[in-house]
Amino acid sequence: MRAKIRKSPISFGFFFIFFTVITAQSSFAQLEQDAANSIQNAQEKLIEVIILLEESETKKIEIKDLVVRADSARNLIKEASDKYLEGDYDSALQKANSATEQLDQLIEEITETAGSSKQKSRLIFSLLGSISALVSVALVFIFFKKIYPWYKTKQLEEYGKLVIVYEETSKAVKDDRE
Amino acid sequence: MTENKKPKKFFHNLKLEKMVALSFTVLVISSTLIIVFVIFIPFSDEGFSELSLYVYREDLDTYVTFGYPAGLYTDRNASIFFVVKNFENKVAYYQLQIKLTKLSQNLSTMFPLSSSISYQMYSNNTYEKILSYATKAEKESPSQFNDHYIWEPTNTTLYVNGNVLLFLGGDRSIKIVFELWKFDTEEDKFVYTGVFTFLELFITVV
Repeated sequence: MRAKIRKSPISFGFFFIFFTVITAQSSFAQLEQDAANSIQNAQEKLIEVIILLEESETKKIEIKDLVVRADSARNLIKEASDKYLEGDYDSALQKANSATEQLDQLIEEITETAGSSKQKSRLIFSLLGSISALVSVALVFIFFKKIYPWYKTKQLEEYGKLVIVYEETSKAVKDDRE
Repeated sequence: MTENKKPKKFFHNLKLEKMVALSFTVLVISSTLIIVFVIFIPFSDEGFSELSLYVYREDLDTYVTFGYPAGLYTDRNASIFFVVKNFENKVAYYQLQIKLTKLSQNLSTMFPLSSSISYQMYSNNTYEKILSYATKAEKESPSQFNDHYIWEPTNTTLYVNGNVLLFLGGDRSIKIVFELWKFDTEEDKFVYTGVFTFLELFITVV
C-alpha cells in the first residue's frame, strides 16, 4: 500500500507529461491544419481579386493602386507558405490571416468602385437616352412642319411638269380597230 | 434609252419619291451596319507580354543587354536580371519559371519544357508578380524599368550543383530557359504564354 502511495506521484508525473505531450501534439497538429486552411483560403481570395481586377478593365476603373495592394497580399501569402514549409505554423497562420484581411478589404473596394462606376455609366446612358429622345421628337416636329410640306410642294411641282402625250397607235392596231 | 444607262444621268432620271426612298434605305442600311459592328465586333487591340534579360553593370550603374555570362562554374554562381512588361490590356498574374536543359533541346512557343527534359532551377512560386497593364500612351513610349506595368529588374542566381550535373550526364553545354507563365482565371491555373528567352552556357567543373 505504501509502495503504491510512493509510486503515485511518479505515475502522476508520468501521466502529466504524457498528457501534456499529447495535448501539445494535438494543438500543434491543429495549428498546422489551421495554417494550411488559412493559406488555402487566402489563395482563393487572391484568385477572386484577380478575377475582379481583370473584369475592372472593361469597367474603366483606376486600378494601379489596387493591383499594387493585391501583389503585396500575394507576397504575404508566399511568405506564409514559406513559413509553413519551415514548420513555423504560427507565423504562417498570422501572415495568411493578414493577407486574407487585406484581400477582403480589396474585394470590398473593387466591388464598391465598380458599383459607383456602373452608376456613373447608367447616369451617362440615361442622359444620352434623354437627349436622343428630345432630338428625335425635334426631328419628327421639323419633319412634319418643314420637310413634309416642302416635299409635298416639290411633288406638286413635279406633277405640274407632267405632260399628257398621246402616242399614235401603230398601223396594225388601227386596222384591227377599224 | 442608251443615255439612261449612263451613270452620270442615273440620279437625274430619278423622281423625288425615289430619291427619298433611296436616302432612307441607305440611312437604314448604314445605321444597321454601324450598330452590328459596334455591338458584335468590338474594337480589340491584341495584347502581348514582354520578357527580357539584363546584366547589371556596376561601372555604368545600369542594366545592359550585353555581356551575358557565357559560362557557369561549379564553384561560383552567375547573376542575371529579368524584366517583364504587361502590354496585355488587362491585369496579369505572372509566373516566371527558370529551367535548365541540354543545348540540343528545341524550344517551342506552343509547349513549355517538360520536367522529363529539363531541370527546374527554382520552385514554381519563386518568381510571381501581379501587374497592371500599360495604357495606349504607355505602349507607344514605354518606360524601361520602372512603372506600374513593369516587373522591375529582378535578380536571379544561376548555379550548378550535383543535381544539375546528374541531370546533364556527360553534357556540359546547356540552355537556361526563362519561361513566362500567366494565371488563367478560367482554367484556375498558370498557363504557358509562349513567351520565353534563353541563355546558352558552357559548364566548367572545377
